[in-house]
Amino acid sequence: MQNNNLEAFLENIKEQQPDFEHDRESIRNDTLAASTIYSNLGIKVLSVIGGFLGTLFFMGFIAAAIFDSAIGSIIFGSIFIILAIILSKTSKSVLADTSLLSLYIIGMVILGVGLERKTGDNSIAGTLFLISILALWFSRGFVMQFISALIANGSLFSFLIINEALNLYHVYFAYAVLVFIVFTHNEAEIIASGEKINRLYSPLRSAYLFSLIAVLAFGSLDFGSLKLEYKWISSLISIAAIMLIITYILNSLGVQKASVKIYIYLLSVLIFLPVVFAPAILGSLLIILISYHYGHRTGFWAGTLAFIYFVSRYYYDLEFTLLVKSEIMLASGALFLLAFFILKPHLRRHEN
Amino acid sequence: MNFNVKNFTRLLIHSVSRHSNWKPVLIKHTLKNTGVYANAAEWKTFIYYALITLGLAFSVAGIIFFFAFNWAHLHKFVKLGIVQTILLSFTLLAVFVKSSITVKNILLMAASITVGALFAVFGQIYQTGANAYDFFLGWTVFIALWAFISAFPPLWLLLLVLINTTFMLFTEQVTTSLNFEAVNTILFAFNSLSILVFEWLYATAKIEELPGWFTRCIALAAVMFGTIAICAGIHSNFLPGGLISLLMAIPLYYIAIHRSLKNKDVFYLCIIPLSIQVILASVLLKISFDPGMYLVITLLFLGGITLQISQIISLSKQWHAE
Repeated sequence: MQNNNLEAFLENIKEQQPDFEHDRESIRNDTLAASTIYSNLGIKVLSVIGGFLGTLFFMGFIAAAIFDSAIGSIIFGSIFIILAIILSKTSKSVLADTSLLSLYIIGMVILGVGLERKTGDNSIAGTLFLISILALWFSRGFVMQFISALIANGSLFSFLIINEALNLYHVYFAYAVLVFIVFTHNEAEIIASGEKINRLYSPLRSAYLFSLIAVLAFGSLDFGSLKLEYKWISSLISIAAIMLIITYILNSLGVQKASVKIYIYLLSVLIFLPVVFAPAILGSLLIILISYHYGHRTGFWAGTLAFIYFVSRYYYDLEFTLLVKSEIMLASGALFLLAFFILKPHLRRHEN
Repeated sequence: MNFNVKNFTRLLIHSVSRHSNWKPVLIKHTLKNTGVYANAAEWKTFIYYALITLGLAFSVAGIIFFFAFNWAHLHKFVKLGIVQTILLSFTLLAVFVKSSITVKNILLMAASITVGALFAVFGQIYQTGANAYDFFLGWTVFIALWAFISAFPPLWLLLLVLINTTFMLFTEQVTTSLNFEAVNTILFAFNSLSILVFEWLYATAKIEELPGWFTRCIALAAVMFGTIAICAGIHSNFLPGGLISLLMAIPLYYIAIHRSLKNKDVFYLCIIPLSIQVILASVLLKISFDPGMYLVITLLFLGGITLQISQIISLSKQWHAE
């Protein structure tokens, strides 16, 4: 069944690109691997639970045996990490992936604890960053590369926190948003530029997505002594990004009329105005729009959940009485419903 | 076009691109044509649902906040009156509205939840205490009849959750003659019995459908209680509760696995071996609390889950091949 579709698919490409050459065997192997029960939810959950329980008890063992010695921690941590990277190249099953992931994370933790006794925070962050980049490059498999990318992004961000350079948050925010957009938008170019990068695409994209959500979450928290100022900078970046995405979407849908475009831009700005001090809401909206347009399910739901959370946070933190808040909400609700009824005929007409 | 199909198509596109010299321009073209990227129709759907959802959500939230603001100043009869009116509205709507049975059931579900709200408000006004088991008991009793007559699994689930909660709070707040294992054993027994009752009702055509998610939720709860009871029993040298759970678990687990194999459904195969591994880990911990034992347990889990998953995968392949 799959083979006929695959052949037709490849034929189609050949027609459009006369010099198309491909390795049919490898492609078939990939698709076979993808369509196994690997994606069964029960197995995924089991693997996660198994990995978690295994990690838990292993940490208990290591804690008692090794934690006293800093050098021992560093050595064992490094060994675990290297082992995990090497073995990941040959791992064939979900559970092997999870176990190796546990090994990898435990290795990182132990290494981190060992380093903490010997050097300062900056060095630790730097080391973890370098190691995670190496792991990202040399390992195989979605999960390890995903986690490595997350650790890399996290270490970068931790430099900000360690050195109390919180105003650079906005720089990091811009970086996170930019990379996410560029990476998602240029999917075709990136996956065509080499096998290694092609394999890295999925984990990296997911990692950038979740890193962005983490950055948003951080921005909306209050760390007491670490206050985040100039929130509107992040908001502006988010708005610019959303405008960019809307442009991409409109281009992709073939919308030509300038009047329609201007209409939509103005409408968007109107919607953004009330929440200009909440970059988290705008950021999660960006994620939703991107994920929906480029067809990423996890991104879409993660973005939606984040959006719901940040909007709730926003209203919770607003310093008005409940009465005023209720009035704001009813007004917003009325506006959305109004927009709904106005746009309804346009939306219906094309659905058939 | 749903996300699942998009995912699979995307995997294919990535795979082909990985092993060929496919040009990026054409890849992008394909991503659009095969529907991985959203088209105009999908965006219209998005805006449609986004607007109505946001509109309703904000309106409802606004109303709730309005009530929250004024709540403290309302007279107690007004408070009760409001909730009772809502309850009456839902009930009357459920009976008289000319819609499908599903809509009526959803209204009945809303009414059942409002019953809880009514008792909650009552408890708040007269300060009977938040966790009072009789709040849950009252709620359970008053929606029991509705749950029985409606053929609506979510409502059944609500009733079962309430029964479990009532029992747990009852043992906490009123009687202390039942120890921890006994409570869990009884919950294990009750939930397992519920599954068997529902299956019997379905088999004898007394109810029309028995959704998978429903039995799985109950099964999950039952296995959880059973595992807790047995583990607790292991640690306290097997007071009656733990032993009874163990004796119940053996036939029940056997039946469940057998059912899984017969129906070609992996669910029980996932949770029951996991439960057994947790129990074994408890046994090991009982033998020794040494750090060395932690290593053994680590291997137990990693090895056990490996074995379990590989078996499930090979069974799945077998079933899918048929």
